[in-house]
Amino acid sequence: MDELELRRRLYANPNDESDELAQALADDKNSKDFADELKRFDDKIASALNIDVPENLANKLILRQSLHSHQLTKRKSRIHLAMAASVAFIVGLGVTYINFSPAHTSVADYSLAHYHHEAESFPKVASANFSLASLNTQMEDLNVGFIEKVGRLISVDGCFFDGMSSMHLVFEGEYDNITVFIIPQAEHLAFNDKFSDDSVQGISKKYANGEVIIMGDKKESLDLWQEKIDSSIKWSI
Amino acid sequence: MASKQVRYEALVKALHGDLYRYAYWLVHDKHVAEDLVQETFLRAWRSLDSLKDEKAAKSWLITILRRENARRFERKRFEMSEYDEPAIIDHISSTTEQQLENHWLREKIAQLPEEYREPLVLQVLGGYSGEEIASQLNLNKNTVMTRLFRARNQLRDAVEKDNELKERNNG
Repeated sequence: MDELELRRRLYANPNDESDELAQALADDKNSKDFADELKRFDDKIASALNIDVPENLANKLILRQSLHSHQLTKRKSRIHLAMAASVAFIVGLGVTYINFSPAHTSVADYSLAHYHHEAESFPKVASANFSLASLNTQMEDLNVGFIEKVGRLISVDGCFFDGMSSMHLVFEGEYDNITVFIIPQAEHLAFNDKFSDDSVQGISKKYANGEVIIMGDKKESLDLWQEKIDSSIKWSI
Repeated sequence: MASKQVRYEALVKALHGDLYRYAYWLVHDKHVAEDLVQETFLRAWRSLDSLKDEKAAKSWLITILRRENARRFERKRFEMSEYDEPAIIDHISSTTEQQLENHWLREKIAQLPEEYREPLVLQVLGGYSGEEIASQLNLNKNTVMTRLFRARNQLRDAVEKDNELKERNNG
């Protein structure tokens, strides 16, 4: 290693501990002295670089971080609160919507549900002889009436058919009660002219002013009932 | 969460001094250096999970600090004077000779071009090898060694000039 290279390496790193350099220094006293001098100089540089660190800097850093985290947490909890409020609001809207909006999508769905809900509450046989006039009076609100009797009536009542003011008639059938719903035009319910479930069948017919749904035991011939009603029903508007 | 806090505090306690000194020699201003260190540790906190190897913590923090410093320039684009005289002033009153010498050398170090000073600080203060400095500064090792050579060379020249000046004054 020549003198120039030696100096270059010592200047670049006075603490160079490579064998190569150690060898070169061992060979030459002058170089060794020069290296020692540079090391001392480097200690001075180190001491000069080693400036005082502001007191409490570490504590400041920790404090600042925890304040920052605290702010974040606060912001987060505010966001969470806002989110919770939004969710509650949406749930509220949803519940309202579900409660006050038709839960059924078709005439068939609703008819079956209504039928089963009240199935047990009617006697099996007609107990009173309803007059045609009294029946028609009850049905006035719906602007519908019958020209002649269509069967032995067990019950007649105004009812809410999926939120719509309707008539619920129950007749004596051959096997079980025949239920007839007379409902206004139901824009929001899909029309089914025939439907059934495990125990019940139903048919439905649309008129200009409403709809007539006839339901009964699966063995009943509902078509006959529909014909009878069709020839007798009279919409006043 | 608690363990993250513990890690963070350990990191602050172990390395805030090194980082502050590094920042100081980068910017020559105690307040700016302190701000830089604050920003650096705040960023470090946010991405503490990405620090897998605690041994690499110091290099990691220095990388963040250098990036923060670069960002500071992008933000302000102000002309930094090469050497900010009042900022470097230390308490010279009632000082020992050692402190006087330190003060004198500090001025000379501060006057070094940044490209020479930064590797020197990393080597002497940080204890990094030529290879490590090269990777930290994105330079090749030969360039780093040349700059280290020039840094010390310039400081030695300054010392010699100073000594000559003293001798002439004395003589």
